[in-house]
Amino acid sequence: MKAETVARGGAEQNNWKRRIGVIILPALAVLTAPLFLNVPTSASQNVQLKPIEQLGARLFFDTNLSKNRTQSCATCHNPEYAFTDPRESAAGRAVSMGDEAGAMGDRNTPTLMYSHMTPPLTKHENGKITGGLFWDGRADNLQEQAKGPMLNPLEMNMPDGASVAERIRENADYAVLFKQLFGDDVFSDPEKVFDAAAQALAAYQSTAEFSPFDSKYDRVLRGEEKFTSLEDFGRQVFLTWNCQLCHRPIRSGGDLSTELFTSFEYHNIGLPVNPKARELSGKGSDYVDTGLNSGTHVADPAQAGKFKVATLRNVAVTGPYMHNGVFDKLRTSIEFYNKYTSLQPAAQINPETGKPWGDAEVPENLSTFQLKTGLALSDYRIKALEAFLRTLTDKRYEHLMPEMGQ
Amino acid sequence: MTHNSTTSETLKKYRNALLGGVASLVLIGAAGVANAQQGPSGAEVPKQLGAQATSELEDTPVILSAPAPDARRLYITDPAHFATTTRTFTVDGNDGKVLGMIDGGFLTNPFAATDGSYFGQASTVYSRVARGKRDDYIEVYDPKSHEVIADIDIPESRFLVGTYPWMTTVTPDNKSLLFYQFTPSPQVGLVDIENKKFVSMIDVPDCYHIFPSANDAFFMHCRDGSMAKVTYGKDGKAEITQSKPFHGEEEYLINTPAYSMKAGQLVWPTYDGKIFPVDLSSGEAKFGTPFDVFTEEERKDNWRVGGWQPVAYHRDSGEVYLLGDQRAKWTHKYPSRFVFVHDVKTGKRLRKIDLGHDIDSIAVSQDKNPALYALSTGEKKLYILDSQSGKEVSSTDELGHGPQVMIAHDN
Repeated sequence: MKAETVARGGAEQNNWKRRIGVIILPALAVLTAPLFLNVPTSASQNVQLKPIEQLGARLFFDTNLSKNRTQSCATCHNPEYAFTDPRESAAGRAVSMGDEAGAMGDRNTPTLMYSHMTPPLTKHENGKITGGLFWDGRADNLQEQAKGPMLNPLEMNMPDGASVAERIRENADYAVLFKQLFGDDVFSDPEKVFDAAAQALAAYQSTAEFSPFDSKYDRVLRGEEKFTSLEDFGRQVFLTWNCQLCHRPIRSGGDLSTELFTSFEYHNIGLPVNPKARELSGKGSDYVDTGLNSGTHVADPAQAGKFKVATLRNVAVTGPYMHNGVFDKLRTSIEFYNKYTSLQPAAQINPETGKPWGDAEVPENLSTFQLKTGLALSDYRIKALEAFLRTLTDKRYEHLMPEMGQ
Repeated sequence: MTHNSTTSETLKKYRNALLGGVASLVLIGAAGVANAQQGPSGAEVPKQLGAQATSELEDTPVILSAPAPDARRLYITDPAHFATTTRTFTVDGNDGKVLGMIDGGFLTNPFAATDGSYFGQASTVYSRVARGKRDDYIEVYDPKSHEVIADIDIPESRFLVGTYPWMTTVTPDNKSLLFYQFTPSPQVGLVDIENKKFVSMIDVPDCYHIFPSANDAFFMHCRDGSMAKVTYGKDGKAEITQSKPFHGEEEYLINTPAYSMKAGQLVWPTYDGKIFPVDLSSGEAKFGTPFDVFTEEERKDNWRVGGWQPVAYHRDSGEVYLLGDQRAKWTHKYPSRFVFVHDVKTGKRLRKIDLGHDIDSIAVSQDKNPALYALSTGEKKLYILDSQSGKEVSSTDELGHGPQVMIAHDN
């Protein structure tokens, strides 16, 4: 597995060079260059990157930031796959393999697209908690989040910030760039370097490449295209059924053009454990992922089992689904919600396994109002919702969409 | 209706009462709603009491009975603009006289046996008027005495909606009743009227309305534009087949089509006045040639369908009655002042009737020279017209708060 990972890492390096090769300039050129450069970061658009964003891009693709130098951010957040992990493990694509052979995560790698628009974790007066990064919201912003994977033994596996700083210092280009951007004394403190690296990574992930708003949905809003009848019906269902109770923003104040299809709230929708992923994670059969309540950032047991409502942008190309990647197909993810409303016996069966969906990993704190109020989805409405969700795919990922229902 | 004989002991008392202007209350209590037209002082003798009432006074109040239903029996339901208690009036469709009244719960669905043997409603009440424990039931009434002859509990699953007549219906043999459930998924409830018990819920596809074509089969209209045929056993187990779509996605069929169960003829208008005739009499859905009620010129002049129950069908003549008026698009629930009469087979216009009032719902009696019933929700008033001449024959007002639905007996 290690050899394979290394090989993939190599391919990725090439990919990185191809994608941002233009910005790897001699240090002097960077120092004297204008602040904005035209950088072709994707086939569909030219994005102007500031120097700190360019630095972030280089770090993002740099496998030297993992202990065994086998993986970078881009290994799991592959830009060709909407910044998710296309690699197959023994648990399929449900969870990602780490730098150390055999190391596996316990949660699905989410897309980084649009993540910079996530507000910080906020506890509201009404008791609701919104925002934050990671499935459990433990990081307030991308800078804070960026440090997590580098130091996570199951991911990039660096022992501490100082060792990350050491790896950065190895690279002469970095040394010049860091001093240019963060001051001549940046290398006087390893933590400063680590912070600066995280800052650069956050800057890169906040560029327009990560939020192009060029999906068919956006194009329809701009009057450039039209929904098919099925997509439009799906949109109507989405906006009138329970979906919109959670997958609607509290942020945009009705501005549909920047709709991210999440309220950034936390909900327990009663998902079962993904048995294969759990087994490979080595967390043991007694382990319970309590989501929002799993770290130290939220101590309230009433939040146990809740996970952040994910953006639905690019959902059609970022399977498998849910925090543990338990469902392979988008259609299955939609059908899951019928478990709570439908009277049909078939609605209690996971079509991917032919068996009951399974007990909720955390049976407490279910979002009963959102899940159990209202109507079951007919087969046609499920199809329509899938068709609508597919229109939320950014243009450059449209070719990745599997056939409907797949 | 007849008033019973008098006895001497109470004559004086009643005469005094009558002179005091309160006798109308006795009559209202006994006979439902009378056409009391007292003046503001309350002192006038109600004029409709006539000479008989002033000379032959009743002494023993009795509970009156309505006559046996005939072709002119009409039931008018007042959903009262979504109030939790409602009424259905029994009306003599000859002269509009109110013969009786039953109380109902929230958004009742009226029904009537095709042979006149009973009428009733699917109803919903709550333990605390509009909140608390919900209770759905079917109640069946004697059409003469207006006494309950069956009260059948059903699951709390009725579709609570502005009243669509074909969401609850009896079967042709009048032995069963079918009601629609919308949430969480479409189902049809089967009730055994004869044995006064709920049988089961029948799972159906994404389809709406119930048009019985036999004692064990009914049709529904599905979202994809097809008709579904549901054949069911006594235990409620069903087999379902679906036709090909018979109308386009942009053709919006109204919520209240006309259906003659005896003829198996369904008449279904669109918002624009296109009529889809569907013949269910063979046990299969046969789609007749659709026709436009409005001419090209009329359509340009903004003639469109409008009202609550804007279509009626006369079985023997094959005449289709449609409410229409000049109106903006998307005002299809507004009342209309005209009725267009067309032949269901040829689509040809037979006549146009100027109703002279804002009418929300129409119905026709099924006898030879049918009465055209025109109900105004705004005026709370029923107008009875001659369906040929369009001449107004009679009218009745004070029909609740917002009467909308008429069920004419299909004798």
